[in-house]
Amino acid sequence: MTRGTHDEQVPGTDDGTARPSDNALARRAGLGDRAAFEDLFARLFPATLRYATRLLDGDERSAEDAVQDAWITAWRALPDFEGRSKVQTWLFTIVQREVYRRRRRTRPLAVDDRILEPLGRDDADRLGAARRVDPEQEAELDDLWRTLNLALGELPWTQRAAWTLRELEGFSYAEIAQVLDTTPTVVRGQLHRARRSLAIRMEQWR
Amino acid sequence: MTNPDLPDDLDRSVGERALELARDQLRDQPQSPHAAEAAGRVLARALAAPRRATTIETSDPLLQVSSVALVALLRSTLAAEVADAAVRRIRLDVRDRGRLHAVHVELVARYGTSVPRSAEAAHVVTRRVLAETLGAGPAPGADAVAHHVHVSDVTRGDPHLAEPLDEDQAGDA
Repeated sequence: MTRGTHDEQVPGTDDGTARPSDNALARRAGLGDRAAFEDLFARLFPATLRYATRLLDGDERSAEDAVQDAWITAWRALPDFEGRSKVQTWLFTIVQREVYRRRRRTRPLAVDDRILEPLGRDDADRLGAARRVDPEQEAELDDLWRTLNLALGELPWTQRAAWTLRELEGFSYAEIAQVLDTTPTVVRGQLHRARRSLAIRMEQWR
Repeated sequence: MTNPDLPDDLDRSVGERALELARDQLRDQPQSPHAAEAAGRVLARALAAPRRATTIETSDPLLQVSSVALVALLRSTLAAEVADAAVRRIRLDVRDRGRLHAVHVELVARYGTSVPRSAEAAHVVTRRVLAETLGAGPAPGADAVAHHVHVSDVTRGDPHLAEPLDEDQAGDA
């Protein structure tokens, strides 16, 4: 019954191929356009799953469950989405809530002892070399981001969420504040502490 | 506030550079195979979730129409036939156990175009869709349904492709 995004000639465009914004897709999805929802999903699903997986310590199954519940909630709530914020921010707020609910049900993970060992300070040359990636250094780089993953797992949860949203997903302070239900000032403080802790932990990489 | 367990006297420049490099590594990581597998499952389950809906009487006593279906049909027809305005919201006023009393259509118009012409086009489309869906004639047919069109905002570009918020943010950038 519904003529959706894929086959609808949108008036006002010269060739019908112009790309609607995320919020325009959300508006149409809220009014029952399933194809618009599919397009929005294709754009935003990978980031939501990535975010949930990072916050759930790499547990892909739990992350999928959380993200699935979030997208179901989004589909049902889109008719009430008023478009006053970016739909991406609104969606991550729902994901955050689902992830938080799952984390409360799981026991905290033990901190990896290696993370707490004394830290090195003479790796500058190696870092410069590692930026020039060649096959022999791939294993080293794997170690590098594994170290970061471990260090992220050590952070208090809201710091980890704030750092991930800022550094990996490119959110503004105001958007992070909305997702985490706090203020931009608090976010600024959390990011400062997260960066400091992570930088200290990353010095152990060698 | 600092963590008392962390040493303060370290030169963090090496750590900061390592963090930057690791962050770039994480950003560049390809999507995991699990993500592609999960996408189909998650999308199918989301779209299968029912939305809040009510049933609406038609002039055929044996036929009722879901409010969700009527809104979707109105939106897609308005989108296809009203050139310079996009639907932002459609509200159905349903009373008396399924009798549709009024339809409120909220539009976003393109700046500089004729708002009365877009509004009139929206009225014509709404009247026709209601007649095709509910049947013409007195209640519960379409002749008894009031329709209100309200232009609530404008966009500089094509309102089908952008929201005013998008343009505000682009202007701020």
